[in-house]
Amino acid sequence: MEKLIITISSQTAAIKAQRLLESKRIRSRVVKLRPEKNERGCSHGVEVDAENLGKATVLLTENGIQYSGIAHM
Amino acid sequence: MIYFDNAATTFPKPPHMLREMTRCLREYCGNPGRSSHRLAMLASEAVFDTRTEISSFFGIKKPENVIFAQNTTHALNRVIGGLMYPKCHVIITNLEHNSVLRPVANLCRMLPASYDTVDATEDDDTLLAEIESKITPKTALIITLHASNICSRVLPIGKIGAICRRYGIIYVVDAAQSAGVYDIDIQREKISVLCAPGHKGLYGPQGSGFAAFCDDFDFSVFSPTEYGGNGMNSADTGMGRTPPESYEAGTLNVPGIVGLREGVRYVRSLGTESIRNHEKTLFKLARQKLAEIPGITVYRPEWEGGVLLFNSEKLSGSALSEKLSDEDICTRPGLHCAPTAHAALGTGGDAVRISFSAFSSQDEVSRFAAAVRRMTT
Repeated sequence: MEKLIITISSQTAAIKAQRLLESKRIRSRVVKLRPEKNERGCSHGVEVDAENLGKATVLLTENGIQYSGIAHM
Repeated sequence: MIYFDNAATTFPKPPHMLREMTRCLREYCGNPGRSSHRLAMLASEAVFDTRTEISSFFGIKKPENVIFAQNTTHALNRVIGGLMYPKCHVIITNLEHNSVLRPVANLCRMLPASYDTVDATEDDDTLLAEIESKITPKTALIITLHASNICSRVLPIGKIGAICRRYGIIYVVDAAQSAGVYDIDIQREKISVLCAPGHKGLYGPQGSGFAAFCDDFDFSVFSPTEYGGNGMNSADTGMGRTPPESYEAGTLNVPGIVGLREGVRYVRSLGTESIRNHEKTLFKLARQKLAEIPGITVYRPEWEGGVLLFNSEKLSGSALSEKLSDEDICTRPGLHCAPTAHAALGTGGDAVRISFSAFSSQDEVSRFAAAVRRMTT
């Protein structure tokens, strides 16, 4: 199963996002991004199955959780 | 031992809090926000749980708006330092602790800026009118305590918050003595920022505290005052304005934050109303027993709550407190870091404070009063 990462610079926001997704039965986990994924340095994200990406990003937007992009691990 | 110095820090602490702190230190005390290994993530989750616990307890929806600090003074310094700017005007009260008075006074000298003080010993209506009369077009902040640390005066924070909202002024509340004792709803009472300790009425450990911001707070006006690593955008030299990380430089006190979470849960389990009523009952008993002792003055006895301030004609506050200490009765003498408040109450600058917690008892009050009688008559 392909995995994608919804990038969120704040780890607190990433945990908030992960808990929201879990509450909606979307399997996810908080990850730390590799430095090459963010030119500004350390960043975090929520890893989801690629097939759930659309549903997950809609949920985050609806709940005011900002994300900065989508990345591959 | 009789411990009546709970306004300084509550003692004892709930056993569950101690157990969870120990478990954290033993089992999962990684560095939160820095790595993705198991211990770091467990620590991050625990910190997030505390943010969630605090945000819901104080009526806000955003856990990220809870910014951890070492104590109330630290939280207030961050908040006041990050919100004041040159030529701004600030309003405080004459009952403030030095945790508010000193940052404001020193920043007013450094920036420069200006501040006015209102008399919080008057009745609520007079206080509210005076606050409104001091507002100028340059007023950026109104900072007040919720409950005094030297007497049981409680300010009408909801009404002050309404004034602030009407004038577009940021309202900062020092809840050092009220968090965990009085019901505080940041959104309902129109508080912009609530600063509180973990180690007093929330029954957490020393070294824990926080600033909690209302859900619609505009962080673009709030500058970080401490700089360093926060696990986010590390290639930038700036801290950014993203709560909470932008305002939490350096490693967090994870065991302390876990202890704070358990302290809040303890308060929830008892209920603030129950704690408040218990402390008020003890206050009334102490006031009655002290009133029966010749030469004792209780300051503003009509304000009933968890803090009682008194003096004896026979001994200075400090001398009496030392005598009580010799019998293992813990009280707090002196100025209580609140010089303008002491001046407002006319104590002469030295008085004995007793303060209660959920663990204090009527029997302790009786034994304390008997000791005071013996020492002063």
